[in-house]
Amino acid sequence: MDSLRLPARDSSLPDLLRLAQSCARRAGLDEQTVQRVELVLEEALVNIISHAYPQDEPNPQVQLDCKVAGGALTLTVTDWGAAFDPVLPTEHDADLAANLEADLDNRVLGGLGLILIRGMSQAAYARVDGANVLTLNFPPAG
Amino acid sequence: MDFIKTTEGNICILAVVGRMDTLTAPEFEAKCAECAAEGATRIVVDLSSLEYISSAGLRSILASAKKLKALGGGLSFCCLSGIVNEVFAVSGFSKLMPVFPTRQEALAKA
Repeated sequence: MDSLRLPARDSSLPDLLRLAQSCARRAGLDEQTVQRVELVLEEALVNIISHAYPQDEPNPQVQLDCKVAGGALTLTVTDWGAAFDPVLPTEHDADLAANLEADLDNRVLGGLGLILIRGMSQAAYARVDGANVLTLNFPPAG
Repeated sequence: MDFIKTTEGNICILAVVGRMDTLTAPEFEAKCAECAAEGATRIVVDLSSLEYISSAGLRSILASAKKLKALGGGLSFCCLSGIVNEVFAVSGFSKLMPVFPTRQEALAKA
């Protein structure tokens, strides 16, 4: 298991994404799945960096754990900010679904990151001891 | 992210090279605004050399498309492949935006 705990800030994105990519390659995932890993993780991290902690939080933290087993990659993203489940369907979800079908005039800018997380990974969420724990699973292709 | 900008008649063609992510997405909006300021409100975006796009990239595309439409023009896309094609499909952008397999077809319909 590879782990990295860093400040929940934009400057941490490259190191966290690099770790996930190297684990994805080690798992033997095909190149498009490796890109999917990077994309879904970027979306999850950007959400945490932007929304999880109050702006004046002195020490916002995010942790990434990567597990490779049986050709699959499992990423676990943990933060200790406000409870937020990016996977659970909510009332907001109906809005997201409607937004997906909306035309150019009615389509709003928000929610695209959540759509990509849900559409491109097997995602699960738990609130554990005051932490948000998001599990992103990427099985081998085929 | 780099752009190769050419014009055909009064259509602006933008070939986007590299990655459209949180850090670079605003550059796309700026480039579309530049085309519009030069009088080309119809823009064909060639994504054959775009390696990666995140939701930040989609937001800048959506914002630009809305602005160009308000000016009587619009955005269309061609030559999507790999992860970029997948992101357009999952996000619904393939239905929202005019998307064509080749640059010629995009230009013919622009």
